[in-house]
Amino acid sequence: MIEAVGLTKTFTTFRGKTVTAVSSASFRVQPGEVFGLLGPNGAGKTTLLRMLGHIIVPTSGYCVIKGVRSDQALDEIRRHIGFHSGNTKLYGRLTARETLRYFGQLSGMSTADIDARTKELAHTLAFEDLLDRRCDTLSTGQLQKVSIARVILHDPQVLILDEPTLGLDILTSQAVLKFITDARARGRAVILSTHYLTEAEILCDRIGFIHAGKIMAEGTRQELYAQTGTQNLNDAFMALAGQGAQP
Amino acid sequence: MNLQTALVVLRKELLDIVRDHRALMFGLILPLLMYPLLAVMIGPLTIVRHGKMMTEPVRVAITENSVPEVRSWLEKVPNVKVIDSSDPTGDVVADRLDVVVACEDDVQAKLDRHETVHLTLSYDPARMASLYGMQRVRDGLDKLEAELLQIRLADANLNTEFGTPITISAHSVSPPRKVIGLKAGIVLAALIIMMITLSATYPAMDLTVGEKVRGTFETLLSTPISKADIIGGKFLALLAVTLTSVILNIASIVGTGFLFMYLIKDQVPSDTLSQFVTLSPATIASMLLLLTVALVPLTFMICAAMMTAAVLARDYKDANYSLTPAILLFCWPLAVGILFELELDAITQFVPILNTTLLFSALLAGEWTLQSFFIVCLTNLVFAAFALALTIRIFNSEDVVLSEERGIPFSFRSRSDLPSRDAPTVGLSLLLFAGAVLLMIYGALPLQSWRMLPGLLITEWLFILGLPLFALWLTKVNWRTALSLYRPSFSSWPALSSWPWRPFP
Repeated sequence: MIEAVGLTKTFTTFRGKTVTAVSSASFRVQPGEVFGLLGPNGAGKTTLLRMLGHIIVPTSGYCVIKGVRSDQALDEIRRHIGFHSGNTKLYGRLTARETLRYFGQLSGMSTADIDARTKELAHTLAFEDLLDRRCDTLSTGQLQKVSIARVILHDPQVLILDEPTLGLDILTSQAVLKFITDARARGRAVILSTHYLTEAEILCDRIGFIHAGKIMAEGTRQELYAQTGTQNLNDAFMALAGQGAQP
Repeated sequence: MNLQTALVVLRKELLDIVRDHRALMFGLILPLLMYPLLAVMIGPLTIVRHGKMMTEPVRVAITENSVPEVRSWLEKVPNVKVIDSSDPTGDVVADRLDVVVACEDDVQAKLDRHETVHLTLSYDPARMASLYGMQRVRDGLDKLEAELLQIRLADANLNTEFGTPITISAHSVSPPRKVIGLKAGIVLAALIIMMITLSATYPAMDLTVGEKVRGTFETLLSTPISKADIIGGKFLALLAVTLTSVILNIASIVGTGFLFMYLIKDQVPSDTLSQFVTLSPATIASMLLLLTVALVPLTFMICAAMMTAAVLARDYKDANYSLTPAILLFCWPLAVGILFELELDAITQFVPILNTTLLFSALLAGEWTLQSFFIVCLTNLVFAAFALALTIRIFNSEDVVLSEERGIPFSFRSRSDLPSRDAPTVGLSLLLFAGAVLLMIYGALPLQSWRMLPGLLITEWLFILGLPLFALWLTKVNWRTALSLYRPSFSSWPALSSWPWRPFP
């Protein structure tokens, strides 16, 4: 389980202005649950996910994973997180196997565990024949498989996925969606940011709508429909975006 | 820093570098090939050219005032060919002649009266053949002059020492090793510092900004390791690659040097270089060992500084702009060491770069002490540790993940195109600083030396205050927030109102 408690991020720009990218974001994602994070561009989704993934440090607030607070034991917390975004690319000059070995070692895994897990994931994600090919020779879809294997190599309890199907073809997107479904089935807490509302409808157990750095609504799809007086996620999104745009 | 994790990063980075053809080419293969290739291509040409200059006759002409005596003198000089010319000076410039000899009309009469005959040699110092030719003609005429003096002394029944009441000879109290070592040490240090800098530039960029450009930076940051481990591993990789490259460079230079000396051994007799050759193998070995040991903290420091400069860059262009001033910064102490002929003392041994330059000189000259050696190495290590700590600090800041506008707000159209802002950008601040420094040097100094009071007023109100205010207005920066001008609090008013009546110092 991961819990975000009052996560806030402010930046002081070089123009001297203080910008609040995310303001007091609080929510909880249970094991075996997919939490969707929706919102327009610039709403603060990536900043929120970066804080959850501990790429950046919150100005205030903290996360709790397995009862451990991020502001008290950051390194311990990070071992339980798998982070994937459009900005988490792979090293082109390393093979898929070397990539997994490198990130496994950085996660503190033993060589034997890394090898066993690599074999298992290559079989599950069907890229056994790509293991000894350099990443710069792989296609986008093949890279995505290796990238997903990299995220779950150390078997994290929490998966943070920022637009994992962006720019992928239908077949590869389906493979990613199946991976998320499987992760939920294995009791992982998944936080998913996406612009594809269909994906959110299929996958997400609960959805948070973020606008101008604030989580404006949170709940199951039915709860969001009831809250906005709409019948589908697209209409709910438009209604919430309209509310957020009001001064 | 967790050494085990840093070593994991190091292994990966080394693998990455070995598979990068550009890093291999510029860091390892080019240094090995460059020097021998240069020697093979340029060496024979130099030897042939030098040999040609030494064996070909010097083309000499005498001005129209020539007299037969001077012509006969010149014909006695070995390997000189006297040529008639209507425009001797023009022919020297046009490379048809090497030297022109001008003399007075009454040479014979002056000789008969035992007076001095004045000769002028005109040559073109821009051409080596002309320069060498002038020297050979002068040497020949000097010998002739000595012979004529002997004849005059004999005619006057004077002994040969009559014409030379004093002879002066200079004797160096320093051994040749010291003389050559002090000069060669600076050249060697300059060469090595340039090698380290050039070898470290590309890997420093690739290891830091390369991660951002390739999009792997966040992947690395998402792992449960500290940023100090990341920087530690990357720094070790940079150090390993740079040291390897520098050692290969030096090995290649030494190998090429031996090859070159072998090729020209019959052409260049060298008394001075033989001093080094005659050093015992143990001395040479200990000198090389000490140079190598001193090289490590120097490389350590330069690599750390290069990494500090590269870590904040957003892309390769940005990194180039950051690293170029760093490279220039390394040249300054070097230039100071060369220009002012400094020595390794209680102050200079604490100045980075300069201390190593002077240490190399002292090592080659055999004038070093163990204390100064350790202080120089330790100083470099301390500076490197500071630079590394700074790199980790910068790496920890979120500026490396999130970037903002740092350039100069500028529009080719009009000021209204620019957005309003509360503080100047880094680029604008740097430009203002540079402009103010230049104005102080080229404007304030002459003005104040001309008239002190008006000069000071113009400096303070126009250069120091006026220029920033104008720049802030031009770039639409809020001058109140930019200059931190706030209305004093109510409680501070009494103190402020008493300020005009403060006791004058």
